[in-house]
Amino acid sequence: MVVKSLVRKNEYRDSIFLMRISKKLEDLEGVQKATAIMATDANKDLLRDAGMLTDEIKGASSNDLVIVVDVVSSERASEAISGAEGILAEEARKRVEEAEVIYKTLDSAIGAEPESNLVLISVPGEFAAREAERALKAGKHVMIFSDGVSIEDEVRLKRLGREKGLLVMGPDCGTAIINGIGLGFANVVKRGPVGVVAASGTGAQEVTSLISAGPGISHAIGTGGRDLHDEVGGITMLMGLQSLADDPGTEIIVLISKPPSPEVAKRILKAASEVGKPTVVNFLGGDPKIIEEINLTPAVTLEDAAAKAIALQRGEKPEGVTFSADLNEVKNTAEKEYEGIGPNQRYIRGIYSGGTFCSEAMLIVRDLVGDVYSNVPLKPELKLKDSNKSKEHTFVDMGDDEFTAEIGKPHPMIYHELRQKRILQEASDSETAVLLLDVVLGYGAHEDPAGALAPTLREAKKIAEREGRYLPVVASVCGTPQDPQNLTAQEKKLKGAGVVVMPSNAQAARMAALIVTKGEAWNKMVG
Amino acid sequence: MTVELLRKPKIINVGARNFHDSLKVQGADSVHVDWKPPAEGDREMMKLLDKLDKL
Repeated sequence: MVVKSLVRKNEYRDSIFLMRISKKLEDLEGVQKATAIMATDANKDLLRDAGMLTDEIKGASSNDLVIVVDVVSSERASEAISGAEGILAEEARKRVEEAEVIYKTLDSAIGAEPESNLVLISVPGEFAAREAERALKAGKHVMIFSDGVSIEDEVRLKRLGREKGLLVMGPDCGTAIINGIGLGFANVVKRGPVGVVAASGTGAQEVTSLISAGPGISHAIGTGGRDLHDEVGGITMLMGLQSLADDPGTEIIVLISKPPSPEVAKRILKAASEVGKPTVVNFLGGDPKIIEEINLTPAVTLEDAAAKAIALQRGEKPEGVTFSADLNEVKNTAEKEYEGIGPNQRYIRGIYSGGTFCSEAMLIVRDLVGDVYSNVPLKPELKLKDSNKSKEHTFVDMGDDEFTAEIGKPHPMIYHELRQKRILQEASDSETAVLLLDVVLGYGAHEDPAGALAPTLREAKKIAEREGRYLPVVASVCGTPQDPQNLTAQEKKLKGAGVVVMPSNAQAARMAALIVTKGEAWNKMVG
Repeated sequence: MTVELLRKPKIINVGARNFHDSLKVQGADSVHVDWKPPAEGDREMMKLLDKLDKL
């Protein structure tokens, strides 16, 4: 193998763009590994570990872009490097053609665009707080997509925002929809009267997508995952709630979070009960009683929250959803799948790109089937010793830092390599009874996730078949028919690969439980 | 507090270019900042620059 590098002095590119280059290069013939990154010390360490640190890169600085390939021959290496140069040149040409004003710093953009009111920040975490503070001081609301911001900085920024009457969505806020405009990872949803405040990006995506099939969404305000921790005290959720209370276009409110600390929960629920608009609360895995007591509507799953918001808007009695299709049809589908599985196939293997989907599915499966091991477990004793090796029922969140921090291992909502590997690995395990997946659509996500996963899922089924097993695969697709990837087309691709496609993450988890228990979980679900 | 924002978001995108591209596709009002680490990522120099800014 030949390792060859290219260093572009003083050229900074964002990480998502760099991932795209890496991926394009890895698709070239003869390329074993390819990476495009900034030459920071941390990245150089990662390159050293991967055996890809050339002398040229050793001398590069954190302001330099490096491209390095591990290739079968030096001829192929030169081709790959010139391919990379071509991509960079093409990108530069496109920018010139668009003749768009591009600012060098936030300050210059604010100076030139005094009317702007929201700054969307997705710079590396260590720099995000600095940019956010500048934005707030200039009187702009902020959405911080970046993670890796300290909780101290989060508290400081949110207090500053509150003082100035400015929303601080994030850090680690993946999704927001403001007046129909999707920010970050967001789906194309119908405009309507339901407003959402969510401490989970994928949670917001599922709820807004499902409500889009009903009355539609006014706004979805993200808070970041730590907003309801004691230290932060729910500052953004409270401000988001107030914003929706004041918004004449919002009639119904949905709040989504993992269970907050009791103190914060009390504050949020009290504020929600004083808004005077019907409010649905999904504190995933939390106790619904405290929500009912205060006359708000509790929801146990994301889908439940969506269904109840739709019912409230229509003036109907809010009811939970177990399966939305005809129950006999659901039963028949499950039966067809579990008829084929052998006595040794006993476990569900959930391979997730969305952390909230992984947690929600574990909560559902735990009650129907039993304990689930995970890299993000519901209880500490269920933590996998090695996240790369499943044990009994195992659900992995492949978007978790431990998978995405590795070099050239981008988030599974954007690229699927890691998930594809894991799918094949689980397919080879004779104890796997069902594979369970989420697929996320919308702006920001992969352009054709089902198209990328379908061949792998076919291959997975073949691997099992060669070893005399039948392997059921269950999935749900989070998105809308209006998304760039088109929900209907994506579901069709999965069905074409023999996947049982369910209308929500919660229903997919129930279907997997039904299959693995060979129908025994039915009574627990529908009685 | 957020009335103006919720009526019409006018966005400055700092960082990932594809977020700006998605906003443009949606017809949103967005400008892009081609962000680079300030002071070439030198933390001490950055602190110094921030102090100067405050003056």
